[in-house]
Amino acid sequence: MDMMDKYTRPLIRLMIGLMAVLTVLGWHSAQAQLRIDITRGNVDPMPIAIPVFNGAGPRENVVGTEMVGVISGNLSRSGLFRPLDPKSFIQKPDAIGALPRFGDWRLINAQALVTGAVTTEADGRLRVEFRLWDVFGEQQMEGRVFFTRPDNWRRVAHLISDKIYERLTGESGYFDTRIVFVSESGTKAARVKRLAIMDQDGANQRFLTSGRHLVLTPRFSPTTHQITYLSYFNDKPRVYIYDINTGQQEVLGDFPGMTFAPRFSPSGDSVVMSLARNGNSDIYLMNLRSRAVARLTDSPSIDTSPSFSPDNQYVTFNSDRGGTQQIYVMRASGADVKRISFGDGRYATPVWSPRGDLIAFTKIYKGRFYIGVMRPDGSGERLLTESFLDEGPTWSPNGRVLMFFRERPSDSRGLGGGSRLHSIDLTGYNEREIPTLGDASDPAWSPLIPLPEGG
Amino acid sequence: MGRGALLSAALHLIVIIITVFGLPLFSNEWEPPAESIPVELAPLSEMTNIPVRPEPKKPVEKIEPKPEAKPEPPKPEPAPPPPPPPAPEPEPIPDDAVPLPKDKVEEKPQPKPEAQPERVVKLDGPRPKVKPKPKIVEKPEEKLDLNKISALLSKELKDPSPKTEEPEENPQDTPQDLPPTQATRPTTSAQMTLSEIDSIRAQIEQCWIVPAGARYAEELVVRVRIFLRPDGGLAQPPQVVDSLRMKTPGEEAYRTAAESAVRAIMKCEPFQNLPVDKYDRWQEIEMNFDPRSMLGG
Repeated sequence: MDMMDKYTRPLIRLMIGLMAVLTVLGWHSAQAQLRIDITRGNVDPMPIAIPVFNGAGPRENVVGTEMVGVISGNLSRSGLFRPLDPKSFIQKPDAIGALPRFGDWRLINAQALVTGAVTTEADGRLRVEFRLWDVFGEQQMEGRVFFTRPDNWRRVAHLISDKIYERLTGESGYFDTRIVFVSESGTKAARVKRLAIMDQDGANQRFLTSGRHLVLTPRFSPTTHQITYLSYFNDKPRVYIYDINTGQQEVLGDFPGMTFAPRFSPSGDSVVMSLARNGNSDIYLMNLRSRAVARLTDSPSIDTSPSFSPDNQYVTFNSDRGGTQQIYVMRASGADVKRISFGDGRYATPVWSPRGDLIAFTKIYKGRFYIGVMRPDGSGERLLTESFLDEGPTWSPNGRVLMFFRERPSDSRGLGGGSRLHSIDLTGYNEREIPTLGDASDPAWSPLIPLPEGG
Repeated sequence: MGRGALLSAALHLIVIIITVFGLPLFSNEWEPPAESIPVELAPLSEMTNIPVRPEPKKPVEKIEPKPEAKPEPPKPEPAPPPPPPPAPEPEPIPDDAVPLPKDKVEEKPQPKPEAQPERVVKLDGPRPKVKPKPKIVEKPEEKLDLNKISALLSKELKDPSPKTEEPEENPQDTPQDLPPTQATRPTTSAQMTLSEIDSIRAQIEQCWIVPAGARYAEELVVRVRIFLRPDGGLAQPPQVVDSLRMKTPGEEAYRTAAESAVRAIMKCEPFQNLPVDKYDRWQEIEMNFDPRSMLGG
């Protein structure tokens, strides 16, 4: 009897338990409501209405109109939004009081609405307020006030664009950023290359260097106002650091050979670069504070184009150690070198995404150039662009957009060539040319400087 | 004795196995199922091909697909294609020696506006700019304009989901006071056919803009529960099942995905071509917005 109990009681309990569970499940499934899986939708850009910001006077009206132009341009260029034609607006901008007539905006299929107002403070500063409305939910999603100098309205427009982008995509924006690049002019034989800087949308272009010395490969510091680049100052190719605020520049280290392909580490306190000696290039890391130098690679091949992962743990670079130019990943110490590119053709200029999830690269295959991305383990290779010559990808700070430069071939008389900056979405869509004053190459995207919060 | 117990245990085990594998079959049989299915499958193709929203029903003025159908015509307002007037170029373009200091216009930080009680944040942080440091002060606006938009805000802050209880623009001739039914009501009518379900799905899919902007958007599956009136309109605002996650810091991408789903539903309502006789089947629907196949996840 004891034995029976010992075995059967737990079994009976188990059985009862199972039956109870199954009964509940069966009852529940009988009661379940209708369920529908929605697995398809549009990838169309979101329709958004941005009526002119109301100005308190004629001057403010001009500013408000121009700001809306900048904001619309930013959102439209992102490929994720479609600013609606102001002609379709039913409710006039100056009639929008504290609360828009949402029905009017639903009628023109706007899903989001941006309203704003521009006034001048007593002290002469501009006061810009904006609100982002959910047209279907009929509520405010975002609302901010900015104060600024009147001539600084453009930056405020970028800040507002970022707020809208962030609220509607859940991803950080990238409009309040700048591009440093190499501006090219002159004939092919006597090419003048100068460092230049502009806003992300091509506005406010100006030069940083005179053009007496050739410059190449500028890179932004992720944390400071500095740019590192290669200059042929006095015909000695060396890596320099340029401070945007002071205009100071200094050579980085005193190396016996040519230094090139510099790039900041994500923390901004060191620069990784190549040093060429006797036909061999290896990768070195220099701490900017202590000026200590560490050698990361030691092979008889050409190792160059190093780029850190955002967590500082790994470095990707390209090397011809395997016979052709390919992409490798190693630990930041230089250990565990692994090749990750195995497709046809050559791979160059790997750049780690600020998100960390992808590495962008230039691919050369059968005489054509491609910009592509792959995961850090080498899987998931996707080519985003193709042309006669696409090169030098740089990431937007949110890791959604790549900028690169594209060279057009010149004809037999040497005419028609030139290079321009282009951007492309990570999806491979939405390729656009960035307007520059002349020929441009080697773009580098600045980080997004976050607004100080709190206080 | 021992053998008897083991035998007994083995028999019980068999009973349990039968129970485990038998019961689901039973539960299936309880549903009034199979015979209706072949009958309903016949019209599937023709139903599924039906245009999704033939014409909006009369009583609902809320969604009129055509913008120009509005009686109030868009005024030929001098819509501003932003003319590029003298966009103030803050600095002259310097073009001289290599190291190029700018900042001639560097102005001292302006005194903070003392008058404002709110927190005031200066913006001129580490900005890679040659131009003089921008002096921008930002503060969240909500505080400022609480009075103006208090109604909205309180709604938003307190309770986002049941915000518009009154069907705002729905005219009187729709039955207003349907109880927001729970699933406890016995379902007596015939099951929804595949084509009927397809019709609802097709309507929603036309309205849904997949949130492609977010990182790992393909992982953001959102479940939304909706309650419908017999005319196909929403009886109450859609409920995101995991609404807590929407408010979690760091889950902005999920919030974005959930908002896109809710927007799709609100854009699509009222739903068309619903079988009136099966209202108890579709008065409550759980929609599962799953972008994985769209975004190649």
